[in-house]
Amino acid sequence: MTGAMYDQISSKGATLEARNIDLSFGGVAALVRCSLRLEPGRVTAVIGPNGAGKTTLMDVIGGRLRPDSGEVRLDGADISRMPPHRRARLGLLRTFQIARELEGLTLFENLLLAGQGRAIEHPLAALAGGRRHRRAEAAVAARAHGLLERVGLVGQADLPAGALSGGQKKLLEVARALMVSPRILVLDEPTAGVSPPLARVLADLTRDLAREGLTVAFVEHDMDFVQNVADHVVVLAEGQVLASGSFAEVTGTRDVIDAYLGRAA
Amino acid sequence: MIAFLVTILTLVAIAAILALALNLQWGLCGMVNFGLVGFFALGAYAAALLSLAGAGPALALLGAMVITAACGAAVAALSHRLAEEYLAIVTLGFGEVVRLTLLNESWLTGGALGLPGIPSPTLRLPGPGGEHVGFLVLCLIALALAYLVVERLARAPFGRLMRAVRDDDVVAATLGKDVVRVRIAAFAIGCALLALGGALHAWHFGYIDPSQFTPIVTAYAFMAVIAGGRGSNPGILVGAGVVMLLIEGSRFLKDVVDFVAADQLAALRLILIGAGLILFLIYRPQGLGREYRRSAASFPTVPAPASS
Repeated sequence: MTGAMYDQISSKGATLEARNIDLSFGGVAALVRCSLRLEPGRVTAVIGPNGAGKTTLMDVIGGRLRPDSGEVRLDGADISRMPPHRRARLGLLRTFQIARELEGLTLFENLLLAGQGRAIEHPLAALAGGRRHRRAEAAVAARAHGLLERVGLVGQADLPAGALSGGQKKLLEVARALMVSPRILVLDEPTAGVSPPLARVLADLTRDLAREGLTVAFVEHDMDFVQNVADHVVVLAEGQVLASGSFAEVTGTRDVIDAYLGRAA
Repeated sequence: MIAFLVTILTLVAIAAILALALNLQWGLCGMVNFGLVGFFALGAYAAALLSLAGAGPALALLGAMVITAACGAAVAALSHRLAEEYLAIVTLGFGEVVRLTLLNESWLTGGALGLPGIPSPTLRLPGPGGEHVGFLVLCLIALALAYLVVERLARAPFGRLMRAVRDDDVVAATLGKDVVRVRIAAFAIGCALLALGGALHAWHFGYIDPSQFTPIVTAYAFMAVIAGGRGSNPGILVGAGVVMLLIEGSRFLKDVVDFVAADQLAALRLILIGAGLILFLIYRPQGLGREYRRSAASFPTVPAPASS
């Protein structure tokens, strides 16, 4: 039952390419000729010391920030100048480093909002209130319930999202993004502030989604999580890609150790 | 006494319509409208001018609502890049623009002299003052319809969309929602309701001039929404009633308090109303009602939660 609902969560993954992204804030270069390729069925981790530009890169991919130069392509199409909501409609979904729940909505309503289509959320649909719209909304609700079962938050469904714990809010964000049928899922520090049992739920979910063909990327500091979940690791430092490859390859690189521990003088 | 009561209830109905409109814009969608009185005045003048030009009440009302909604949509669209507090400034400015235009474009609006002799619709009920009771009935029907519309919007997926835009527009956008369109729609619908209130106001008095449209009207609407509970339409009906009763009821203070001069009492009334609102905010800051939240179990497709 749960499995059947869960099967519909992701559509087929897409390829996302960020090419030669440059972005500076004032005089500070946050990203320097930064490139990243995300592929269907693969989990890519972006790691690096604080201030390396990881979240900035996620913001460029998601559309919150526009790069000074370089381009972002989704399945080959240039989406560099597309606003975030249009990228989301193409299936590019992201979560935030500090969970941004919609605090005035319940957990369940957060998911309903994400899953409800444009036809049923039109004001005229509200006034007409046809049976077709009610049925469509009920289908969204069923899907939301299935996802909450999957992440183990059914008991909290009707709580205001603002009342959830930090870890529960992170799960809410992932579940909410999954309501939109993503093709690419970008998670910004999914385990920050998350208790170990919830982090395991997240790790399993991420692996399962990638196995189903979804394109997944995340920024993370927890190296156990990275090792367990990521197929491919990209190391950023001072806005540049320092290394990429498997976890073992990357962590054995001298430059990476230097970047994290500080260069020996 | 009956005549006075009918008048009070008519004013309460109009104030409630304004408060419901503000609740849609600010309570649910997070758009501060400090120029509420400007849209109210626009609706009143449009309805009055159309009525004076010989248009039937339905046509005059429709015209007023369309014109005001269009202006609201334009204001929302022009200020869509502005954060909440800047929208407050823009709407405040809009309200002043409307007031000054009404005052100075006397070829159209009659200027400070206003527009007299506005023909108004009513139901001809029997008995003394039947036409006033009839107009009250019309106002109550309008209020009921307005309530139905805003409550349906609040409970529908569109209501969630508005609340999401209010809570965090960045999140709404990352979920694929077109935040600008939501804001424009919510603001325009609210402005159409403000025009409905304006038309009823113009018809009720039969005479309008710019001095009736002072920022205090905006303040009363905010008081009603704050007292009623932001987001809660049933609460706002009560809130508007309470605020109007306080305002109108405190007129009778002069019968009880005889040691204060009449002009001082007028000032005292406003102080009392303000003090009442402050006490209310201290003891019940969330207001009387709570906004509608759709529970998971209310969907037929979701199994009822196991009791734990």
